[in-house]
Amino acid sequence: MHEFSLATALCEIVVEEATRYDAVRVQSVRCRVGVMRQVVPELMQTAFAACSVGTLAAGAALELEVEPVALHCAACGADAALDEIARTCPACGSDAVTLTGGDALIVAALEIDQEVPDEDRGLATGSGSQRCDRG
Amino acid sequence: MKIEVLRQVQAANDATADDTRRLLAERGICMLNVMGGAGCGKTALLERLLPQLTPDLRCAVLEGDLATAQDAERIARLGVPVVQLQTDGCCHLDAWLVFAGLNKLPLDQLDLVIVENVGNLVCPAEFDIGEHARLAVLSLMEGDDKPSKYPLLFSRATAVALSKCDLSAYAEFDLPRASRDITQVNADVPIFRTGRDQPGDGSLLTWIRETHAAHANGTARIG
Repeated sequence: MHEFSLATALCEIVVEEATRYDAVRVQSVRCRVGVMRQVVPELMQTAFAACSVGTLAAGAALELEVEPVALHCAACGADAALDEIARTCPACGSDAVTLTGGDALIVAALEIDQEVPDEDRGLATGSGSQRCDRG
Repeated sequence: MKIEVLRQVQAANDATADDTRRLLAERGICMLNVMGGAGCGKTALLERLLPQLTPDLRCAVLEGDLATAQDAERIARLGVPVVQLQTDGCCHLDAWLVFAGLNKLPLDQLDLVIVENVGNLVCPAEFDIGEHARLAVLSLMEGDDKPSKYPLLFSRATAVALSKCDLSAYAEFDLPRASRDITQVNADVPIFRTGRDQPGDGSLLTWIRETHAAHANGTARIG
């Protein structure tokens, strides 16, 4: 399952970047993944969640942004950016197409907390009354 | 707080791959990464090609497998230096494992290192291991639909070997379809029809020698 290998590397970069900015938590990660990588989003989510346990990235939302593959048709000259691999031209149906790009795997952005959020401070101090209210 | 990062996920692996290319350049060695699914005939291909390469090129092999040293033993019987890289369950070789393996070879006595990657049509294609060229192997017995199902491997190949062509009478393999699906993602990639007593073996040998000649100083990476 190549998602696990990719998620491991992704998590390492996320933690490294978050640490550089003195993060206490990573809220979300936006990752650009090319169509040609054939990454299964659900598997990537599961793998990332597993890899990030015990790290600053634990619980972070993973947003996967698709990098399209570029199709050029030699028959009609059409160009298209596709979110799914296609073997025929969407304009004329010819199979005289070439596919390029669409193989990115980039950590685009993070959203981090640099201090403990207010809603977590009460839990962190162990206020018993707040726990009862929530019960 | 939002932070723009824009870093390659595989940057750490790729940095080690670059270290490997520098190491190879210092020694004047060309490295070829041979990839393909389990059972496509990578080891058998090397068993046929190495005896014809070794009179002119000092060769060594890094064998990648999840477990056992069976493939390394086959290569060792040819008298070629070989190191078995066992991934202990990982489905591909990465740059670190290959770098470590290279340092177990007699690098001062080599011209060409061939890495036989783990049998897998998916993951090996994702990892730069410091190679100068990538050979994708697909056997006729695996089916003509594999290039369309596994585009990344074929899009990143420097050459493609269709293997087991000596068994073409027993395989329902639509060669034009497979060739079209390969060239759609890799327009100019050479495709060699290899197998026992197949002329494609000779053409592939020529390509390997030319690849070595072009990259033995470890400068530009093909493809």
